Amino acid sequence: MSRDMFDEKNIVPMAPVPSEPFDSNDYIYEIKFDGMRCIGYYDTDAVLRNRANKDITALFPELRNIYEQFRHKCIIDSEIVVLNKGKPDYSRLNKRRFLSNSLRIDLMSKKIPATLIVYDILYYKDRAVTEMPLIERKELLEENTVEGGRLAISRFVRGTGTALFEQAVNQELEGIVAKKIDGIYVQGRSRLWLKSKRRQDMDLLLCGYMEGRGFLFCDDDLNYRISIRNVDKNTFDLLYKYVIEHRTDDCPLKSGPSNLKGAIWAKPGLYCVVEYMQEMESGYLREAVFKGIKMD
Amino acid sequence: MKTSWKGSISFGMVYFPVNVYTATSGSAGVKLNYLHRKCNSRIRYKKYCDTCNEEVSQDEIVKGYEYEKDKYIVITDEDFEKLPIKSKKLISISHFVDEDEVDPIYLDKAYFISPGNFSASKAFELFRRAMLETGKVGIAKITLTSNEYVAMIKPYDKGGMLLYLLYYSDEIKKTEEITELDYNVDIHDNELKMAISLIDNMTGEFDIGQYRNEYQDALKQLIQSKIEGKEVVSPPEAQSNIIDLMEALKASVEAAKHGRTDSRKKGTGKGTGSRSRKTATEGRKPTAGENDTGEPAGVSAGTDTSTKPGGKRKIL
Repeated sequence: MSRDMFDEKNIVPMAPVPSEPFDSNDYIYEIKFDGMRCIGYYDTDAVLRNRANKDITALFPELRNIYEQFRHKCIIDSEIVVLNKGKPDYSRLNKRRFLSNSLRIDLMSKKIPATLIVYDILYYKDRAVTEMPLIERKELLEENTVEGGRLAISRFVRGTGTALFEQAVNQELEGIVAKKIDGIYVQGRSRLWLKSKRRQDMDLLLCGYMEGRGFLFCDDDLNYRISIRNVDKNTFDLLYKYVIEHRTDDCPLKSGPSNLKGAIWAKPGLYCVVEYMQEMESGYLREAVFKGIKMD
Repeated sequence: MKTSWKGSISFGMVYFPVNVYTATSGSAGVKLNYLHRKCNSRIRYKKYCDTCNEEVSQDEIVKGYEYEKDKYIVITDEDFEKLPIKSKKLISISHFVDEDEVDPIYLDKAYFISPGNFSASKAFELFRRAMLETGKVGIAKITLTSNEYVAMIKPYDKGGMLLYLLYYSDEIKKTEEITELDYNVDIHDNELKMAISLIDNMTGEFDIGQYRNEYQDALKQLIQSKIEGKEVVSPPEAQSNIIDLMEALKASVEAAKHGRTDSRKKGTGKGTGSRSRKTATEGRKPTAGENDTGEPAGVSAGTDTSTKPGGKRKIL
């Protein structure tokens, strides 16, 4: 038998395009959860891959037996989240994603276990179902999945995007995704899926580090934007290494506050994604959170 | 996998880039820290100079060689750079030998090698196949960080090639120093036959996977149980939370939609599945009391607008 997408295991997850929230009966809407994208290959065991197709199975021992909750061999698109008071907590997930020591992994899997929220099916029994209309895939997913334990099926509504978005905002969830009801599953970016996020992303340049303040970021025009202290250890090491290796004695900023004396300046060259709630008139970003180093 | 370094393989007229990866993860053992018995704080190691009576930071440290008691010559970074190492980042194969000629005692650390880029794949595979066919392995010189090594390159049966750093001959200790090996005994044919048949009886397949480090397993278990006994491991949060949350959001949105049917251009209820309508009316809507964390659920199922002031969160 020839190798199929289950054997190849190189699926690029479908990615939504940003959009304003809207209402249309041609779309279903579901909550966008702040977690780690996961394409799962389930048969007599589970193989979990992240967005970059890296094998993350070993990171989540608590999800190892989750294949038992799928009735037939399948490929499932999903989000791995770590909950805090019933809601996905990205910083908690971050405590899990960089572990390599198996003892640590086991401990953390008990302390802050992950949950798998499944929302699409790409393969069923012995064939790809990516050409099937979304709404039929949703039915198939529901039939094939036994909810419970560490597994939840993503709920969706039809037509009412703005109302769901409002609720997502009130609940401080990441946002919503609108999905064309008869859309096929496309690998990579597609307009069949539209995301509306509560918080915005901005690409900023790392330009220094200051004891007490954390990492300093500026925009393309070298205007100071924000300092971020709260990053996990792994990220801290990466960013700090960049600052040290690109250290410069002269402040590279064109504008910025005067209280940055004593900062270690670095030549801006590393783009990072910073997520924030609101951009103030002063240019300050409210509730800024470091999301990652930009890969492209 | 993270590459250890990138370089090139060369032999004869052939030259192609390769990536080199560490093949072994070192000890899988539990890492323990030293603590001060009195207060359980980490013991730190400080670098200290007895002559100046002060602590020394990293940038104040240079390397030196003790050529006589208490006499040193200093070797600076510039000195190191002047050292003539031609084979830097180059795996230069000098010749090929039969694999069984290389005694395993010489094998040090193992690395995986892969083609350095797409166009190198063909040369890489050609080289690999040719070694497989002939049963030969390549002997090469390479430089890693600041030292020069001899290496052996061989095809790996799980794909790609393996590179072993080899010990130099003067790094292997001599057995002559083990005096107990200097014995003289007589072995009878029958005794030898018996020993051989014992070996035959116990011959099996080599399967490293069936061995586990039981000491480490026990140590891990000990640590687990100590943590569980001491630290209050927060109970795993029930899934029902996230399902409840999604159901509540859905119910609230559906209810709002039905409530507003008249004013809506589209979506007058016909699109929603019966499942969701059931949810909205059959009382699965969580209330603050039902949520098992004791947190207010915050979702007012069945009402049109949220309880929080919506104007505060303006989305651009």
